[in-house]
Amino acid sequence: MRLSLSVRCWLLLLLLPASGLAALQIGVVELPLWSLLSGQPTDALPGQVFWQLRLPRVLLAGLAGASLALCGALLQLLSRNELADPYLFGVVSGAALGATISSLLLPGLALALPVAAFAGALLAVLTVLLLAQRSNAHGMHSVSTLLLTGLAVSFCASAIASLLLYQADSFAANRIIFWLMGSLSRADWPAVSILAVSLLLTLTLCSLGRRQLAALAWSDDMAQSLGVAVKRWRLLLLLLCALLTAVVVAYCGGIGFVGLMIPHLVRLLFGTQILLLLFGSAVGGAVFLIWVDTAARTVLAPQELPLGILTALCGSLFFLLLLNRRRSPYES
Amino acid sequence: MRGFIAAVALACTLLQAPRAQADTAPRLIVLAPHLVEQLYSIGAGALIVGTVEHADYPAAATAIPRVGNYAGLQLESILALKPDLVLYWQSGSPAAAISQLQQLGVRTVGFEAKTLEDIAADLTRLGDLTGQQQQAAQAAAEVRQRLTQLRRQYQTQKPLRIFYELWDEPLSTIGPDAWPSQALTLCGAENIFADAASAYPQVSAEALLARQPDLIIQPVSATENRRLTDYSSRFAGLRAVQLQQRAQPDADLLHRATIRTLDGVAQLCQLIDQSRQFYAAKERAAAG
Repeated sequence: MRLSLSVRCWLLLLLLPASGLAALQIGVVELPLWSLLSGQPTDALPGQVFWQLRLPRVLLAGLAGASLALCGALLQLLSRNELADPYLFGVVSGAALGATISSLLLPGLALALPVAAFAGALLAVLTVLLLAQRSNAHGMHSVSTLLLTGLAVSFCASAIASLLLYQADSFAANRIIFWLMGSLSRADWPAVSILAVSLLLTLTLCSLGRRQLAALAWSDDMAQSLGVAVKRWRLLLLLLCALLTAVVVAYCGGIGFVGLMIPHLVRLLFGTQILLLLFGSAVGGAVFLIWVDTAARTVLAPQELPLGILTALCGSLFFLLLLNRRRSPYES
Repeated sequence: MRGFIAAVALACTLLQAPRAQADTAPRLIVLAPHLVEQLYSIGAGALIVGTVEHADYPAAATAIPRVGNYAGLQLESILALKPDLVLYWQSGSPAAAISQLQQLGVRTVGFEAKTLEDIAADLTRLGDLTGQQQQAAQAAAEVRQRLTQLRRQYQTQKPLRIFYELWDEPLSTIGPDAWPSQALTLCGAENIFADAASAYPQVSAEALLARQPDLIIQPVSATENRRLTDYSSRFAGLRAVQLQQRAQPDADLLHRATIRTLDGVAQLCQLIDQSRQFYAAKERAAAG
């Protein structure tokens, strides 16, 4: 039995607040959720845990998941390649290089890490885009150039980071390795607000440019004949994706496979209509990461399981399943 | 009835008495195994309400609730334990989590032992923080005295060239900035890789063969198993291997900055001195 499309959409939308509330309730400290949300006076401890730790963390999980899935969906549309992933452009390796440098130079300064990671991620992505743009000018195929340039820049950044870590003390290496595994434990309100603004900006621009996006997803020639400024739109959207991913990576480290897996699932469940795909991916990504983070902070308590381990585990299994079935949603 | 009320009142005061005393003592969360050990050694172990994994000494420490490890901390658990003070290890505790704790208004104090004398200095500071000044002063004085004694006994002896095998694959040793270097200097040993740029460098087999140590030191731990390099095959050309000059000091004592480190240093010095005596006897035999 298959539910109608609108029912499925409503179910997904309802899942988001339900997951958020459940995630807020689950944790080490028992919280009187209703009295907290309705503003009734409680002890100092539940208030502090709720407002300064758990709420920003659940929000950050939702925002990061939404951002990664949205970027994945966008990049898959733009590159017309269902294997595109926001991490393919060297974002993570660039961010890791930035994080390495900051944790070697300013190990005690907590703020230095997200700033340096963001700078590194942005630098890597801009290098990739610039190099790819230049080889395109020489008549090479755009998508494969982009992916290959991303790969090369990734390896280059990782090599430099490894070289620096090799020279440094063992604690620095530990810090970077755990940072790369991804975690939301650094969640605070500045992180939440920066990511929320970036996500809203990207979603708005996507909604405004949905016609151009649909044309681009079809083919460059088609888009051109429909009067779309192909190069400009592509560059703008790529930059937006890069920015959004860089913000996520800067605050949360490496959280792989969300951008690959969620858009695929959304396509299977909701079809390929552009806005449905983008917004569905965002909501789906949010729900997914909220649950993964809830598992990460409770399963092995008092230890926290790095997030990237869980997402990569889910993602790679999903990926293998997909390869096994090998039926593209575009073909059916 | 009146008797019953009086009994209840008496029971209440009796129950409250020890608690009132406990209220004045700070509730501590301690984020490094060596700081936990130091606190126990000045009689302040009972104040610890939360700690991290690997805090396994003394045995009583294993019963303390855990709030994370060197990679990350559970801030919710820390807040739930309502600590008055969080003690952390500057280079070893996760910096991001520490600064989050500070933002949440938790009082934190950092520790960083760089020299063997810092063990004594840390004891004094911990004594001030926990109100155990007297026991701390006594323990610190003992540490300083033992250090002076070991120094007098070994530091001016004929230097012995040693290779400190921290790990076998990749072959890793220690540089001058590493913690065990302090002990080696004190014991009158000379690290053949003292020119290394980093604290825990990986070294090539060729470099080791070329530098020909007098003694190979392989620290071993009872709690964490390790592999030891099989010197009989690849490194059979080393003089120290042919003469069977190998020592295995207790890493559990040596690698943590606590009072027990002194036992570890004493053991290390003794092992090094045995090798020194061996070479001296050999030289005398050759001369005679």
